[in-house]
Amino acid sequence: MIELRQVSKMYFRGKRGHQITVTAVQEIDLKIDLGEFVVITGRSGCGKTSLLNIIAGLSRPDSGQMFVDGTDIWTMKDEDISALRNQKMGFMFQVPSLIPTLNVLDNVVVPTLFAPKEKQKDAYQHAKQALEAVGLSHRMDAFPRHLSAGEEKRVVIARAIINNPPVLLADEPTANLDELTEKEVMALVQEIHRGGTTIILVTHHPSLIGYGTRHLTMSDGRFVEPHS
Amino acid sequence: MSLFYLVLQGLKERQFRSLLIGFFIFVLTGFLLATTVILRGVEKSLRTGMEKLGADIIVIPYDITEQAQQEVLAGKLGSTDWMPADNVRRISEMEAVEKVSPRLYLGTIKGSPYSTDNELFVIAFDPETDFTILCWLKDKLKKPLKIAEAIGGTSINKVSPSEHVSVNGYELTLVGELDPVGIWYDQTLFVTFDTARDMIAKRAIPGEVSADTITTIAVDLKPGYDVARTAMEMMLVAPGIWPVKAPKLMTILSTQRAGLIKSLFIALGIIWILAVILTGFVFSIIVNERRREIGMLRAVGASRNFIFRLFLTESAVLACSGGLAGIILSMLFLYFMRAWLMPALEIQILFPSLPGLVLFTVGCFLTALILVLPALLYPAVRASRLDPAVAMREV
Repeated sequence: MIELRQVSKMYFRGKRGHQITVTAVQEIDLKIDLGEFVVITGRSGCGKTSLLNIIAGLSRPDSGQMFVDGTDIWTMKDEDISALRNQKMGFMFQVPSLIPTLNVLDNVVVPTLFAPKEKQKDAYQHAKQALEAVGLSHRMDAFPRHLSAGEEKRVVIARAIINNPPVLLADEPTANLDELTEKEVMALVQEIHRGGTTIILVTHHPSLIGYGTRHLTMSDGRFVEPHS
Repeated sequence: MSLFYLVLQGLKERQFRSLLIGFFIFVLTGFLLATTVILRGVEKSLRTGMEKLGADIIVIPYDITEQAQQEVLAGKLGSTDWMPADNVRRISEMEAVEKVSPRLYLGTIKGSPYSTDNELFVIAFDPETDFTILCWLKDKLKKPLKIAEAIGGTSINKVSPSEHVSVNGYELTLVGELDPVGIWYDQTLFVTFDTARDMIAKRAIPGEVSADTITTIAVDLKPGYDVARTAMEMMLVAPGIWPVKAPKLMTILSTQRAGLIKSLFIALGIIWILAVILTGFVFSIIVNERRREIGMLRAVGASRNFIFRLFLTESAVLACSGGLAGIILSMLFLYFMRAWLMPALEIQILFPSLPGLVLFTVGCFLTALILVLPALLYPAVRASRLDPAVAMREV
């Protein structure tokens, strides 16, 4: 379903003339099949988020190819890549990512704005169901500034599943959460996985490894252990 | 959920910023409309005034004070010196002269209730020879002017429902009204020399005014005659006069107008530059502060085109609402100016007709939008080109 071939990504840091090149992802090969729960771990700065952004089609690799359902996505137009993200991927970001000017319900509905017309019809109904699934149906009218960190993560999960995507990408989904909330959030992720969704989760937290069906470890932009 | 809903929610929840940008556009549009209407009014007023003067040469007494000369040149009456009426005959006999028409300044009534302006002038003219006043009548006179009848400028008798105007107890019947001119004509009562004599006899005119004297003579030359040369010859034919050539008068008025227009355009340019820079600056800040939101929208499926449209729509909503507010306020200002400021400052400016004003308004609104477009487009383009992964990471 998702395949990376010899994918590399570099960043430039510092001011012009004094820039240093940082290789975030180095010649990575990876194949992820439908229904997998892949957990990628590694220390901060090892390239986990960069790899996830490449998988998501948010960041263009400097070399290599990235296939989704057999199509090299970087040969597609921006509109088509955006549509692919909208229909095939759900996101959980490490940083707060709700739109501060929209309430919880509207935030969950946002991805349907870019979905085909037939999916937009019952958008609010689906959003309410998604919020119910994450246990936040009573907070629909609240604005992000009024939510706790755990509640915000759950809204993000509801938003990620509204279009019913086959893949969920999660970047440090339990960052800044207490142990109990972490378990609640991961239980939701597991629930989504049980529904058939492929999960790709990156974290520096070893306690999340057990949730996955496959574990990969990254260091200096490469996988350092054999795939389990 | 729609793009417009996202925009409106964004504006509603960021009230201070929205008001700030709206205010810049409001100032720009308001200033543009007000200055354009005023500029055009001033220009039309001066142009009509010059046309109204109509004559190639205006003859005034030579020995009137310099200040009085300046007042006459500026189109205001102030001369209290007179010259013999015989000058009219002498000048009319010159070969180059086609038309001659005398005028007699009878006086100024201050604070007259019969004028919407502060001052009301009374002038005697000769309807038989006139070629500068009657041509501006709204409706042609049905009968020749009789004693105790007058023609009024557009500002006359606006406060009184009657058609009678009292000048120091002398009742004048208004039988005609002039079109708006934009100079002292608007606040002047024109009477015949016979009426002037009657008014003097009945002591309605203070001082020692004689109806056998005159204050100015309007002279029109035959085609092909040199104005400067004829003016020189005129001084020999009728000693004690000072012929003011119309081109000189026009030059003075044109210079004044050019200076005024230049100043207003400089001010307009400065306001435009400031508004564009500040609007662009504020929008750039907004794009920066919303990098994470842009990254998130891109991640959940927004294309570059959508992000561009999102920011452009937001800018357009702000520009339109600010522009409309600017137009409304400048309209109120113009109304205040016409109703209160102009009479108080004794300024004469011709305002456009209602269709003209509507055209101006639409024109100013569109111009303001075009002017701020670069400031609105640049941040929208920048937002659409933002790398979503970098945007999410950097904030």
